[in-house]
Amino acid sequence: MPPLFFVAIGLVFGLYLAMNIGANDVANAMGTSVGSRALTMRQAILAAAVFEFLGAVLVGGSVTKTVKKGVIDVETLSDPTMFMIVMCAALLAAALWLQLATWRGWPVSTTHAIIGALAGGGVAASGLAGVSWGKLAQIGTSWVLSPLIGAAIGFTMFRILSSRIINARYPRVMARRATPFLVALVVFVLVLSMLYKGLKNLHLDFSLIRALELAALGAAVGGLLAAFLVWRRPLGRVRLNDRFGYVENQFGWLQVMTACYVAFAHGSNDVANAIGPLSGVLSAWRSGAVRGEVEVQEWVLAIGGAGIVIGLMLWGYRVMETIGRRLTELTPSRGFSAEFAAATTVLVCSKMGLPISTTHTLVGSVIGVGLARGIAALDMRVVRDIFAAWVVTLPVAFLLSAVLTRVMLLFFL
Amino acid sequence: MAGSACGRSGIRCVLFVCIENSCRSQMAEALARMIGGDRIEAFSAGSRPSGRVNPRAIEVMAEAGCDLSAHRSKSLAGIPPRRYDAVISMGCGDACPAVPARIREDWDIPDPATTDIGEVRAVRDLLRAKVESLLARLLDGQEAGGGETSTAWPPMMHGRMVRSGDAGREKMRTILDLFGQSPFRALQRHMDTVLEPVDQVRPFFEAFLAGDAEKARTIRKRILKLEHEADLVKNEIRDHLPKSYFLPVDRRDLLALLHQQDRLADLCEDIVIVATLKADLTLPRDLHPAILEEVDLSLEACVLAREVIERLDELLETSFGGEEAARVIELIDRVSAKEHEVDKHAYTTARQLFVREQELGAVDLGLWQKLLQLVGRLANAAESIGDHVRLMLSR
Repeated sequence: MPPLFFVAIGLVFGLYLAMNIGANDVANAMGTSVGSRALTMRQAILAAAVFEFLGAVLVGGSVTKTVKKGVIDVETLSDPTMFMIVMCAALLAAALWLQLATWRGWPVSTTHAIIGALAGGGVAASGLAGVSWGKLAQIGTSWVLSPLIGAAIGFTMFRILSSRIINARYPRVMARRATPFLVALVVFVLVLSMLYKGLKNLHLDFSLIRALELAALGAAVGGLLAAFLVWRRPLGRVRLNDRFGYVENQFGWLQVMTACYVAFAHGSNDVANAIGPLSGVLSAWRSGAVRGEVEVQEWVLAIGGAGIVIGLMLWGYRVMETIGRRLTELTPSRGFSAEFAAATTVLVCSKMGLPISTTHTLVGSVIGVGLARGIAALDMRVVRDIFAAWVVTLPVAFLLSAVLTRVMLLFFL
Repeated sequence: MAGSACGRSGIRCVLFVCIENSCRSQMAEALARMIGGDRIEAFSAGSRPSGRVNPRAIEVMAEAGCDLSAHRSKSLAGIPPRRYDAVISMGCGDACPAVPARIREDWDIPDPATTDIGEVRAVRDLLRAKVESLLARLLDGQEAGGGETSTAWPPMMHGRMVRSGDAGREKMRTILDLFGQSPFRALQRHMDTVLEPVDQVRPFFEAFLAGDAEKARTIRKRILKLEHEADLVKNEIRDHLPKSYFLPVDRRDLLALLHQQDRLADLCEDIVIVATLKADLTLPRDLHPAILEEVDLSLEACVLAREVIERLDELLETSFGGEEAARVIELIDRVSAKEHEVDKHAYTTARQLFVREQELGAVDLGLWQKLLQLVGRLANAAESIGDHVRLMLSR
């Protein structure tokens, strides 16, 4: 079978997965902003498209590398054709499982599906030695830790905001004063993550010191701009029955920023689920060996980013529309805290090359805010369902991919 | 509040205000009626009414299937004085009305005073979206679309967000499924509902003491009906507070609070039943003021308790802490103080009654003592409501 055949399969299913990620996960990334009315649906779609793409291309490399070569033990699985078959089988298995889950309405994670499928393919191709269990254990640990870290950051962030701003003697004055600093904080983290060890593909690899300097500069500019916009307007008289309206309005603006931040982090982490295996197929095809080039090429990342954007334009729209009709008890201050926590956690994991579930991290962050007594009611049944889907996805994707690998090996090798 | 459907379970009153009451507020009122059905009472007015409805507005509303031609442009002074759930202005600047309401918003919608019908259409569509969102909020996230109406607390739609279109993808579970229906707003609505029979207690005693049996019977009937309505709201809340909900307050405190609120309605029922047990129960005229005073004091405690419950919104915003919590504690202290006053007054009134034992007769005396007790218990329940909120704050 010509290797080009596998490239074609990889391309088709890689794109399919990317589109699915765009269609389904974007609702989770932007849903809280639309639900709290910080963004209209149209704005959310646009912001998601831009920042998902940027995140995928600028920071998506590390995680893609892990998905491409971290799970499969490339020492054992050194035959390029076999490697390509495992990658294609994993893509196919993940796509099939995801399609079933979407049809049934199960809250499954693309990340869990693709990692489980890769492990299954590796074992089917060359036994237990075909998988680097150490890395897999590391990934598994990050799946447990990421919601916990998200919860911890969300809890802390909201506690600080509520004690310093919302529960202050003059909440409106404090909110007005704090907004530029919070803007600066978000810009700082965002720019730092873009510059430090990012942008390698654009040959703009900054050292930590240089990246910190530039991030601080960006934060200063953002903060000053926000200060100009916020402080220019007079505070106005406090309205009866609406003492917190102004405060929440300020957070509405901040939440727009964190929504973009979440989209960026999501793009950076989740593009790998689709594009990691595809990138593996491509490099095996081009170099004729499994251990060829090390870096993930930017145009492959761009394909993944484009796939996500196409997916969210085609179907994400409809999912978001449904969400736009739902109203939540989530106010912008809560949304800001949860989104900031989730995006930061996801972005740090992306930098470390750990593929985690954005949705799980966000759920963890929201629960963190809930633990700080911030949310009227959280339905823990949903958490149970998500956990159940998590437990089911791994073995199903594993088995499905193993079977597909065996079948393909039988036919194509 | 009396005489209006506003505040009764499920029905919400909305007032839309713009400058001329000829275009924007007229369309918003009509849209609210269309979308909200019989769960919404909508009104509109202008700060400087032009006296006529904009013909373009009539035209575009006719496109949306709504006839505005019989509407008149009204002044703010002419609107019925009620307790509005929401007052919405359209960007009227300094002429914003001073109408009390739970929700006050300025939508800042441009005045399409031009004759360009496309612009008026755009304003209509903008208004439709905003009215939809407002009504959904007012009716606790109840789906605002369609003509289907129900006053029931909205059923949760766990993972089933199926609408028209490709249902498969819309069945997707999203993070928003995590957010449950706020029990606090439901509690506020329940409190509004139980205060309705409480409001009838004073008119009942007035009629009863004056010997107007006919009127007393009407009010008695009304109270029994309102008590039943309150029970329904209470049951809905209980049914929709699954154990899986993670709340910022202890679930038991919440249910205990609900129980105390419901006791207010139950006590009203007990009062009218005890009062009408004996057909010829009367009271010497000079004792009337003491009884009515006792009723008034108890009602004041209930109104204070309602104020506490209305603060739940703010308490949720401040995660039950900070300055707001301190202010609510002060309010709760006032409820307690009022309850104490009620007790003292009940004691003196009871003694007054015993002095007239011969004149009243043992049976009448017993019944009046019982009534006095029941009225006092209204204040006790109000105090309990405050205490349960206090528990929530001290966690």
